Amino acid sequence: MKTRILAMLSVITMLPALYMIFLFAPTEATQGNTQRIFYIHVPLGVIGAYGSAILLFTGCLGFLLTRDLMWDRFAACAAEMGVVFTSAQLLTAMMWAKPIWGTWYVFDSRGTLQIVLLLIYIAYFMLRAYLPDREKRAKLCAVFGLLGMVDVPINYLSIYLFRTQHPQPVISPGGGGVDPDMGKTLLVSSIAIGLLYAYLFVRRLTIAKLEEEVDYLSQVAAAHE
Amino acid sequence: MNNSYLFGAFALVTIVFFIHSWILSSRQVRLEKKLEELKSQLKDRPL
Repeated sequence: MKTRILAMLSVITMLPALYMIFLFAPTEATQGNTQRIFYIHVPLGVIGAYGSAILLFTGCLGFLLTRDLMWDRFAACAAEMGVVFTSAQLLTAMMWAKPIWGTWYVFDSRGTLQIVLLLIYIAYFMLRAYLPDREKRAKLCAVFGLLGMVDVPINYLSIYLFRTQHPQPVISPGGGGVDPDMGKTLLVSSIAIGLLYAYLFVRRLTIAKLEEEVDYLSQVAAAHE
Repeated sequence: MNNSYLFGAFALVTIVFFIHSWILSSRQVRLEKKLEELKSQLKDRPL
C-alpha cells in the first residue's frame, strides 16, 4: 500500500516537473537548452548519490552499534540505490559535457570522485557476494561502508578545495544563485526525484525482506530433508 | 544549439529507471512464488 502511494505520488509530481523543465524554465543564455539537464542532474546527485551515501552510512553504523541484521539489509538496499542513481547522474553529466565542453568526460576532481563513489557502491556488493557467512558479511561490509563514505565529504567539497572544470556552485553556500523560475523548476524536479527514490527504496526494502524469508525457509526445508 | 543531447539525457535516465523497476518487479514476483512454494512444502511436513 505504502509502495503504491509512493509510486502514484512519484508519477503525479513527475508530470509538472517535466512541464517546468521543458516549457516553464527560461533558457539559459550561454548553454541554451542543454542547461535543462541540470534540473535532473543535480537532484540525481544530491538525493540519489549523496542520499544513498547517507543511508548506507546510517545502515552500517546502525549495524555496528546494534548488531541487528535489519541494518545490514538497509545498508545493502541503500548501496543498490546508490549504483542506480549515481550511474544515471554520471550519464546526464556526460550528455551535458559533450556539447558544452566538447568531450564526454574530463578527469577533474569532482567527476573522478563521483566515479570513485560509484566504484565504492559496486565494491560493497562484490564484498557481499564473496562472503557467505551472514554475520561476518554484515560486519565486514559495515566497516567497508563506513570507510568508503569518507569519499562523500571530499567529493562534495572538491569544487571548493581543488581547481576543477566542474561548474562552480549556484545554489550551494557561496553560490551565485539562479533565476527564481529556475529555482522553482529545480525544487519541483527535486521533489519528483525524491519521491521516485523513496518509492524504489521502499520497494527494494520489501524485496530484501522477502529474500531473507526465502533464505530462512530454504534452510528449514533443507534441514527436514 | 543541438537539442539531441538534452533529449538523449532524459531518454537514458528513463531507460535506467525502467530497467531498474523491471528488475525489481521480476525479482519480487520470483521471490513471492518461491516463498509460496516453500510454505506449502513445509506445511505438508511435520516439524
